[in-house]
Amino acid sequence: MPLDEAEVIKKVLAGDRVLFGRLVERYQDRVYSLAMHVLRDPHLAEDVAQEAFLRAFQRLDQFRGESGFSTWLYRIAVNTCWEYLRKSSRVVPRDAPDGEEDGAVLVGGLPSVEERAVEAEQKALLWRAVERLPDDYRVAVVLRYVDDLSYQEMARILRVPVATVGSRLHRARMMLAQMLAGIGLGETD
Amino acid sequence: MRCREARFLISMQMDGELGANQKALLAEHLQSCSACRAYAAAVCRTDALLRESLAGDQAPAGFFEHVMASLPDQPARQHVRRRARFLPGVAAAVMVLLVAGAWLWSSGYHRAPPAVETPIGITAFKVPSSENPGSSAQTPGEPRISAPLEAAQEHAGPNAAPKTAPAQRPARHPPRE
Repeated sequence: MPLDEAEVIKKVLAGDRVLFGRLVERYQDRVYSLAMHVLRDPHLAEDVAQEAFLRAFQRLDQFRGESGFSTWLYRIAVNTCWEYLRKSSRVVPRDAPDGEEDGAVLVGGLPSVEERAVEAEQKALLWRAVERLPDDYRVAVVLRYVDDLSYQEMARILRVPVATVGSRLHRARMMLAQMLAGIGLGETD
Repeated sequence: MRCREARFLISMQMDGELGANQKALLAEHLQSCSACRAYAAAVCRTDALLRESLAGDQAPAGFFEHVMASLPDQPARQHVRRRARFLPGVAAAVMVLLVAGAWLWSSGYHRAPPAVETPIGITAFKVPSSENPGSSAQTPGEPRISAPLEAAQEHAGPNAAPKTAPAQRPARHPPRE
């Protein structure tokens, strides 16, 4: 049975605290994934994802339903991620030397089925490339793939013009293509 | 179309944000540009990998329980806190008003002199005249604005003078009982 989020939110605001768990169940993987790929630290991502849900609960009366609940929740999650990034002053290396890449290490520890090993290796390399993107590009990429969000929804979450979303994703893809070509994954001219 | 523009459109197409006209223009460019075709293929592969790898992410075990345990009793707790922050100030303001009101009452302000309300809403007080105590000494050029007294009058009770006094009332200050 599909979850009527508006109804759930109404009941939670009326005092049914346990019903908020339905929303947590629905979005916990995506919010965690978002935090994980933005912050690149599983423990920090867990803390931030929990904090995002807590803030969403505390501010639920401020949700006006103008956008979807997921858009509102992701905005809270992204803002919480930004806060942690600012606090920790983490700097993403934009031009780290290619010699740092060592995806082959992963192959040994993976299941023996060769195809799965190669795929896992490619994914690992890809995410290492994503981690090297500037913060705002990486957030755009993660948002795009975490829930198949449209430019419009992403613009609402990031509070930037729609054109900026398209531009960030385009530049991120160009950088990824270059990085992946440099390690033999992907292809550019 | 230049390759630079075509690659921007390739990115938009990956995200399903391309209009029909732009699609046609891009297709036309890709037919004649092998470099952009290779770029499009690489972006497609990257897109598929990103999608797959993000789809597999799961929150760690116990995440749900931790979140639920951390929730306060009521959702709008911050609003309650925000309102609660103002409560002492509001209480203090109410106390000050009560004390000021009591002081005004005890000092006899509620027995304010009779007033005449002018057509423009400015209350003018009549000055007693020794020659003609029954007539108003107020001249049109000398209005006095007395909003606080007027307000005090409204709370003065049954013994207070009416807001609009008859013209022949003689005394400025009515005798105290």
